[in-house]
Amino acid sequence: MRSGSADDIDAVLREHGQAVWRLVVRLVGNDGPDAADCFQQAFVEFASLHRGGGIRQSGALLKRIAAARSIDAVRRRMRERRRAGELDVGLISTGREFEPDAQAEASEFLELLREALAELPEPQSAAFVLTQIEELSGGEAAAAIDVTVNHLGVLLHRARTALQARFEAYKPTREFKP
Amino acid sequence: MSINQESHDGDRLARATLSMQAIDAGDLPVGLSVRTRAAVTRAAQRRRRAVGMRLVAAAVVGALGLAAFFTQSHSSVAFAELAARVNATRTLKAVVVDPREGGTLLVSGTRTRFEGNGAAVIADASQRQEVMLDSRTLSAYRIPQRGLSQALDFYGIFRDLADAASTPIPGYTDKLGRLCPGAQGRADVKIAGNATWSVDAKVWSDPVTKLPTRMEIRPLQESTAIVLEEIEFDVPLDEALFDLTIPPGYQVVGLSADQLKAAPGAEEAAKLTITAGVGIGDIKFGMSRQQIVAILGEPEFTLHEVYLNYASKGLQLVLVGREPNKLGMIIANPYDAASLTRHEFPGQTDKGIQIGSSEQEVTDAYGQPDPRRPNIPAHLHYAAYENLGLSIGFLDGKVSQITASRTD
Repeated sequence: MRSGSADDIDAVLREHGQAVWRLVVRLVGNDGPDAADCFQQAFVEFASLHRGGGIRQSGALLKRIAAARSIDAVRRRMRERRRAGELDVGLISTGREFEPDAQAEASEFLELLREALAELPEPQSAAFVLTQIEELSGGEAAAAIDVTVNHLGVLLHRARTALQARFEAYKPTREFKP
Repeated sequence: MSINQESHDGDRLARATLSMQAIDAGDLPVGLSVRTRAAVTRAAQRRRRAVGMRLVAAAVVGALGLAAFFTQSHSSVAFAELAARVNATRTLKAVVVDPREGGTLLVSGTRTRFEGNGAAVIADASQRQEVMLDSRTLSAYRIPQRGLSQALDFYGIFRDLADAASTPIPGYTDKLGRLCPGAQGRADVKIAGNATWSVDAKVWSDPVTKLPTRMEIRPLQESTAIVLEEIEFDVPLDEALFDLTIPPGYQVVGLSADQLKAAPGAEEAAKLTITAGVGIGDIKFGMSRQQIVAILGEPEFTLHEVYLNYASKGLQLVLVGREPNKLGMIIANPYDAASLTRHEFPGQTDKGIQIGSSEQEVTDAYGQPDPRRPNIPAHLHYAAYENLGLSIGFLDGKVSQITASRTD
């Protein structure tokens, strides 16, 4: 990307904008300004990484940056909730009692996953998000995280172990019907 | 934990993963791409300016650190002795560690050179001259005196900061394994005109020479500190490092002072009225270069084909945004390195805001700005109105820049 080149950033937005938006919404939701903020931050950071050279059409790297900024946003939310005294092991259930069981359970698990990802070291969360949520290939994800494919496997194993431990410690806010 | 329980937890993780994948994000919101393009462009402009600002910051770090060190709960006699010791030095070399713009700082009297990320900024405070050399693009920028170069007078700043308060902090172990005593202080540093920059500074000193070896500076409200490490005094520095001559092969970008046309008269200035979301005067967002030239004439210089500079009007029109090569951004008083040789923007907004208006006048005209974004450095003061596509920069409490972006 020529420094600040409009044409290049237009091309990247056209090619990857929708996919990055989807990733950001998956990780932070779309009920506030966080998603748009994370989206913008990801592109600004991506462009800054490529100044002085040509922008590579690297959707995987963009997704890695977007995931990191989104997880930062989740962390900020968690801190704010803790400050406000709302958070009890990471879950807010306002209104959930009126949701059907399956939907309520999915909502709780989804929120738990977001917060559990926020507690992982960044390379581990990136490995999980890129391979398990975005379903990138091992090679693409490893290149985006700048590790070997073997090391990606290590990161992914550690991420899974930590996430499963988090789910193990989790107690649902109510009993869901099987 | 039983195998069944482990499997159950794995199921939950799998279900959560599927739930996340199943989220329907919908289409990219209308306008977000436009705002993102504008944000990328603004960031690129800030980066072009950043090397110069980092040089200022680095010089300030050094001066602040010295001040903090010398005032650490010692008597004025002790300070005077130590100040004299630093003033007796002639040169300084340090590594600047900064996640955004790190590099090497060299100081020789009133002359400073900062190298980092393929660029070098060389300044001479006594001559009030500054050049920036970008070795990646072989571009050179002559930066006129706008109040920044005075901040590059390392030893001068140090003398001005003698009153900074300080307290002892835990020592720092250097590469030789020696414990270097530390002190910290807070000060308001004058950076340009009457503008100040409030910072916390920490400094650690060599246990033998008593001269600073490491310093940290953190602008208030910023989480990231700029760090000077491996500080050495009185190192031999080649005079050629501070030569302000543009090297052969470099192309000078922007105008020189003698190339700058006269500022517009009152009648022409009155036509330069920025209307948020619409344009400036007869120039409207979405116009092509050809349409702009038909109204304003040929740009006085052009950068990267899309930055049309009318330096005599203090105006930069940027062909960026939803439509390629169409006007997407208007910048009154651009501050990138190539655009500093210019007149002040003589126009105004349709709500009467002009360069020099107060923050209160801006609030009265446009209301309370959007919440401050966390990634904006604390010393850069902006009022953003994203829904209007308007961003207003302040220096010393007065409007110093107006940026309008296309919003449709």
